[in-house]
Amino acid sequence: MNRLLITFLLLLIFSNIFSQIVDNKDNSWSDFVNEIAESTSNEQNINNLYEELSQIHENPFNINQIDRNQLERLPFLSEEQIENIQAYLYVNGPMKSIFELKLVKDLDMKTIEMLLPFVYLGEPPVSEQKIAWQKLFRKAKQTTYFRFDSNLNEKVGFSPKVDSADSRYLGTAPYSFFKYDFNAGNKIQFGFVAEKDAGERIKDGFFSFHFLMKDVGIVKRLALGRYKLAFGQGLAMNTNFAMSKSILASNVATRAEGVSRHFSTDEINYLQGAAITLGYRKHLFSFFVSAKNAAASINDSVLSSIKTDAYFNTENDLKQRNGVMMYLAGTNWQHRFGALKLGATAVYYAFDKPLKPEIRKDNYFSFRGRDNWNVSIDYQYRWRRFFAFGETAMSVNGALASLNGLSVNVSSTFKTTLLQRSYSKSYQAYYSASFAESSRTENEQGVYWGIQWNPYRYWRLSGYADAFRFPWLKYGVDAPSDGYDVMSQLDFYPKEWLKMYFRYKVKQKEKNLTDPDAIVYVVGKYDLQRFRYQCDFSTGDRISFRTGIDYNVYNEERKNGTDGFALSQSISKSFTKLPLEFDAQILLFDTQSYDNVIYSSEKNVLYVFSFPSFSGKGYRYSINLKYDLNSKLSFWLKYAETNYSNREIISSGLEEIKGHSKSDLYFLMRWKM
Amino acid sequence: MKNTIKNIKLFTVIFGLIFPTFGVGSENNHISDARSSALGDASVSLSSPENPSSNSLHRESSLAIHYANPFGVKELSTVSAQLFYANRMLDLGVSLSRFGYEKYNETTISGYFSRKLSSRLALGVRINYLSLMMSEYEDRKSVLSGDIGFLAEVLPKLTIGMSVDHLLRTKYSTARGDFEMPLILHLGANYRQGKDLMLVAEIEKDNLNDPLLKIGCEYLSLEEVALRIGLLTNPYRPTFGIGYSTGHFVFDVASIYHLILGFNTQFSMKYKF
Repeated sequence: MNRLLITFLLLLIFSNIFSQIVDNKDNSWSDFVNEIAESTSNEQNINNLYEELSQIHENPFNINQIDRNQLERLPFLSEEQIENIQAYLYVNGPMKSIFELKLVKDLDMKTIEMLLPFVYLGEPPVSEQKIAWQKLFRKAKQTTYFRFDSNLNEKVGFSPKVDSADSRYLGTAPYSFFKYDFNAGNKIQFGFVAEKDAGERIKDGFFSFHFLMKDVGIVKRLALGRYKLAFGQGLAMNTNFAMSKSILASNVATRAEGVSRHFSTDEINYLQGAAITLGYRKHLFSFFVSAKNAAASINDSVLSSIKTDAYFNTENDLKQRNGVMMYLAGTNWQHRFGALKLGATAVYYAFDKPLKPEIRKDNYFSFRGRDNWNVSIDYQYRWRRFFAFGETAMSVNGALASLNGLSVNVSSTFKTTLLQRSYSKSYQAYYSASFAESSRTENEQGVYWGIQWNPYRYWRLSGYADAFRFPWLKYGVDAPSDGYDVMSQLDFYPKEWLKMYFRYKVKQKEKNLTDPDAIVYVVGKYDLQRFRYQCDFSTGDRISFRTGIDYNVYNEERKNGTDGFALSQSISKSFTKLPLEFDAQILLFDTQSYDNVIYSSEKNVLYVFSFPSFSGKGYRYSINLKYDLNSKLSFWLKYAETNYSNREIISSGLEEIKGHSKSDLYFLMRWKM
Repeated sequence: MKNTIKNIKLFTVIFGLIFPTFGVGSENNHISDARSSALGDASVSLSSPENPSSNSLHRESSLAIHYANPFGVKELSTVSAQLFYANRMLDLGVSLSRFGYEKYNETTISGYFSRKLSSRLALGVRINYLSLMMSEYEDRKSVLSGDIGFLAEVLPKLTIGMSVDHLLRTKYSTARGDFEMPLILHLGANYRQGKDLMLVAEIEKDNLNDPLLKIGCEYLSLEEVALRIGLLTNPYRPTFGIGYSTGHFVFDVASIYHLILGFNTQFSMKYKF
């Protein structure tokens, strides 16, 4: 009775706020992804995260049937919040209203705001002894997607050859994909993807198939075709998203999902073959095998490098296609001993030709040879308000990589996390992705400290400070180097229709200085300070506005400082009588050099993470439309144009455009069959 | 060979880090207790030896010893001891601190005089006598200086502290010229949230170098056990520590991590009476 009364009262109090949040579904979590994107150099990592969250957003979880695995796929939830949601459902039974989320311990409005797009209030779980396969297949969801993007300017790559030796793109200009997704009650999923990059011929495109079965008897996961793997903190095996520095400063532990499907258009980070996870009592055993072709440069039957992008639109790119066969086999074991979770991973991989990159000082310790293996042990332990996590891994040469963290949930208003990592300069793990300043988990030591603090109602202060050191040389840094990365953000959200933040970030690192008089490179410090103010407000009638002001200052030893400035304004409107959503944005930018590049978060068609960067002087505007023809068929359309006032040529090489403006068109169709 | 490398390392550390600061007046032997160090050395608003008035706000008598061993090099160690005695007339204290080894060392003797002016305000002064042994070929140098500081509980949860080190100081002469101690200003605050959490911040600026920002956080996970974390800038250094109190005794361990040089580990033991 009390619970009903409280729920009713909450309904009265928070209905405005919740309806506001429901109206503005995308903003809060895409902001979080944008912020991570700004902090990381691994673009694919961010695209994976964005696609993963977009997929959940499209097929949200039933809050009354949600399980731990599903909650762990939402990286903004802390371990304690996940346990509290589960505990609430266990103690109080299914929720009667989504407003009950406010009653869950330690779940603040900011987190609820991020959670709401990913959950819905559905039927409570029905205890079934046998899986009703026929019913599952009858109610299966089938969705197809078709996307088409094109640049509307003429690029050099598509122009006629001037000389017969000139390189040109082989295919047509548009980017396009077709995706089919079949999902029978989250038990059986399969699908395929066909993608053609800009300038690629259709026959040179990316074609992918996957099949995934979940929770059938002792088989917890069975994946065939293309799949992804992530275990522990990702030091030995992770082809998925790795957690990074973000505004959620105290959430830095990577959540490894184990075996999952590969449904994205990522042409690099996946495995191909079969993987299975078996559950026996509280043990989970995974076994996986993979064999796939990858693009590589080959000289005299020796691999000099593995291609890191996935474009096959020129003759030279095609020569690298299928250059190497990569084999992989491995196993993982996980077990829960009450509050302690332990895991162990062993992975062996081999190339059909020896990998021997050209020897430079910076890659002196990089992997060379035909095969390698990694083993690791990982742990998680919860005790009262403490959560400890970590992993230590080893490669065949005996080099170690170790990451250890401690999160303390001091109170519902204060959380802090300390994370230490030490990756040997000779640690070699091809399939590793974890918390790191560099894009790879090697040659790095660091200490990270993050806090989230709500000192008063409507105020939140979050920040992190990360100090790191690279004991060996890096590409473009001819000496051991070090640096730091600090962020602090103050959020103020006094009304349901008004929220704002001010953010300050500073990162200092070292690199070879480009001094024309220097005979040898001199390694020196450089730093970039970024200031951002953002204000979101709504005037009712389903209209919302966002204003952003960006300013940054770049300093480098032996050089004068440079700065960059940008101002952006966007407007969003959704209609009640028409199934139409409309977004428009304008951005003015003025930067003194490329070092002052401005990042802009911009709404795009579904599943497309858009985080363009700008330098120079100019403006950009974009218009985005979403139209639901009926409950099954939806369309997205976007037009974006960038105009530079100080350039007559944009980009270079085959991407060169003559003129001062660049425009792009994006189209996506989704059909829920 | 190993010894040669060790000697080179020691030489580099001492001349690279210590002498540049020494040349303009040394701060090597300022007493920093392990609790303060674990909180990013943001100690001016706390009951710490940094603030001359710190003894008086909470009227606590104590005897403490501190030991700091930077980067595992014993020649860079500092040993210090301090005694505070709170009484109705004037709170008194004395401390003795020694940094270095036989060929280079600094010894400081300080006297503390402080008083609680109201229920929420304490004021104190400190007189320091510094004796410097800089080289075998020079005489021992002596310097006198005077510091002042206050602590104010502006809100029940918020305390601010300020101290000015070497407000009055004498010069000393070396073969390289005359030098004096730098004037250093510490301005800080601590905020208590609930019974178990304290956040602390401080800005330090002297008349020669860039300002230092210091931030720390202390969490009493159990009533007797305190976990601490912090950072200080210029150069950027994270700090950590743990404290344990039992009866009249308090034990603290701390480490300041320097990215290149490693850990500066400190230990403190205090007896309260």
